[in-house]
Amino acid sequence: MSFTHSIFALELCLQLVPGDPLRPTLQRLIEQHPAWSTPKDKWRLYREVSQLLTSRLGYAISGCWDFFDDDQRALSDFNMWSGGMTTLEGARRTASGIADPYRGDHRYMTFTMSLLLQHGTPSERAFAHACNIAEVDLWKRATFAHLLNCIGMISFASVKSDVIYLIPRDDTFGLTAEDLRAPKFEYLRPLG
Amino acid sequence: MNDDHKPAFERDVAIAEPGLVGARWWNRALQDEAAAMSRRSAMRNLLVGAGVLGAVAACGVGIVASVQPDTEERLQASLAAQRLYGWNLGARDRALLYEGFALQLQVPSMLSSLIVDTLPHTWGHLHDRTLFEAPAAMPTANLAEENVPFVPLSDQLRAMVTPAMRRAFDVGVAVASLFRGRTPAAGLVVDLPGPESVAFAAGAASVLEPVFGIANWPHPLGVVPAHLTLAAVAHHQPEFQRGREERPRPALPCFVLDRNRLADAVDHQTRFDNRYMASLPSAAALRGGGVYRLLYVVATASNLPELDDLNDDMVDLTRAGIAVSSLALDAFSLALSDGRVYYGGDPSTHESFWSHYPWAPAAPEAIDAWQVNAIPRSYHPARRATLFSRAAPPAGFATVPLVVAGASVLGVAFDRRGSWNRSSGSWGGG
Repeated sequence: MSFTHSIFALELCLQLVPGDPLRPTLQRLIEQHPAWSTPKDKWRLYREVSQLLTSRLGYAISGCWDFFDDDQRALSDFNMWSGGMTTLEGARRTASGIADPYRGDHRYMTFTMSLLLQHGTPSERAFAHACNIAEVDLWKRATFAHLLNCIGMISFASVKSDVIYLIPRDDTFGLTAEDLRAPKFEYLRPLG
Repeated sequence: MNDDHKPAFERDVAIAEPGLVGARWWNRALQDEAAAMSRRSAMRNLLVGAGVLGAVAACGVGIVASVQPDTEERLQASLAAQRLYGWNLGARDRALLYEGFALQLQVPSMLSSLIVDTLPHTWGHLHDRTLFEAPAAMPTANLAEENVPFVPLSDQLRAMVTPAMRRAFDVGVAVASLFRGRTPAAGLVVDLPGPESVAFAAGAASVLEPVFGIANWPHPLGVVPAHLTLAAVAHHQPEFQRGREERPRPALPCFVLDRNRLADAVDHQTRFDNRYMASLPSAAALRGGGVYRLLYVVATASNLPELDDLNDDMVDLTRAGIAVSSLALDAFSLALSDGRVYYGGDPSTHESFWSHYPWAPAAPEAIDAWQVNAIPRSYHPARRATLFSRAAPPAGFATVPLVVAGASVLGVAFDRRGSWNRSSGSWGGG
């Protein structure tokens, strides 16, 4: 048989803050990452994304992450995360307009990354160890900060595929609070 | 094998809609490798299927042997390993964490003069500049499994100040005011948590010469947060610089130690052991500089007696005729009248320090600082059995386990051990 796989996925839902460069910066990073890239380019991309997200964890309202080193689960979950992008499942089809924060009206963004890793390599094992988080701490911002920090330990020579996406691309397509209450976003856990 | 510099990832999906922007890439090199492994597996299955049953057990052993890395662990002194492989070996992707009020250095170029700014004029021969060498140090070798580019410590260094540092600085200033113009033939041994020791020394630097005895380097997983000590030095660098210029010469010494140096039990699986043992100068070396008394400075009386690693030295110094006394920071407090820190908490009691430590004449009008009488001043080091005797340090003290394969040093064990032997599992949810 061929080598087996592990999967790491992380999604954060953050409040869009008017004037904050987070969303446009993430958009630029995705759009400008070349069609062909080296493992080092990939490492830098994820390092930059991780640092950006870590710096804005205070604006994160919910999130989700998982690590599985079961081969079948890894492959099927990676397809699922990829499908979240290719089917535009979470994205709005129509504009939601600009929020009016003075009326308690906010817009939100989600950022998703998923890595299909080669199971058993030193960096995958080290990362698996880093993902060993106590149940009570799973949905804490500090845990997300830890995981984002630990992405730097991944050798992208051992990553078979990665998918990364941002909702929305345009400011006027931000998610509303009502959007986030839809069943399709139930997997996002409130962060402590 | 994959080459980090060779484009391997190819984008197969790119989406740019108003509602979503994203992309997916595939590592073609790994896909090829997986395909080749599939072919090999198919051939092996064919052989087994053909009836080579007797070979199955032996084959199984062979596979295990080829998968298990032929490696061993070798302990190396932590500081030597850091000098060789970089200050953050095995954790280049980790960031240093700061506390208190940490700022980007305003003048990073000043870091290059850190070694000079902290170099003593009088006591240079007893000064350990190990800590100050860390920011600019570059590795001379690379760990075989290291795939993160090296970044010098100076790039992660911040200047830091905390409330505890501010207080220690104020006490240092107060002590300097007591020693100014006097010759009590006494030196100080400041044994506070690193940042506070540094702040105290900076406060006293206009009179007393800081002599550093901090012999470790920061590490992102270090059990001793030496980067905080260095960040405190960066914050107080102007005081050290100014003190060095203005201090009278010769000056009495202020030996600066980090009380966190003997941090508790170290889990080598997850932490880097950057502990160190401190030592004190011999009686002859002290006398040579005109020092006949030592004042052991701690935060509170509960920090007495001295830490384990100083026990032998303290006892030997006492036997050799060097008088040792103790001074707790809480003997100094803020005066409501002018907001400054004084011995006994008031300008009128400040000078009575010299009544309590009768090594120099006190001002005749000084009022006894009865408020501090409960704080012990006399101090008689007694020999005791300790874990941290330099003659027999604990096994594995200040070492790092390196993973070695033949002549090649692959990496640090804490980066790998604990994950290889763990059964498969999963965490998180979604």
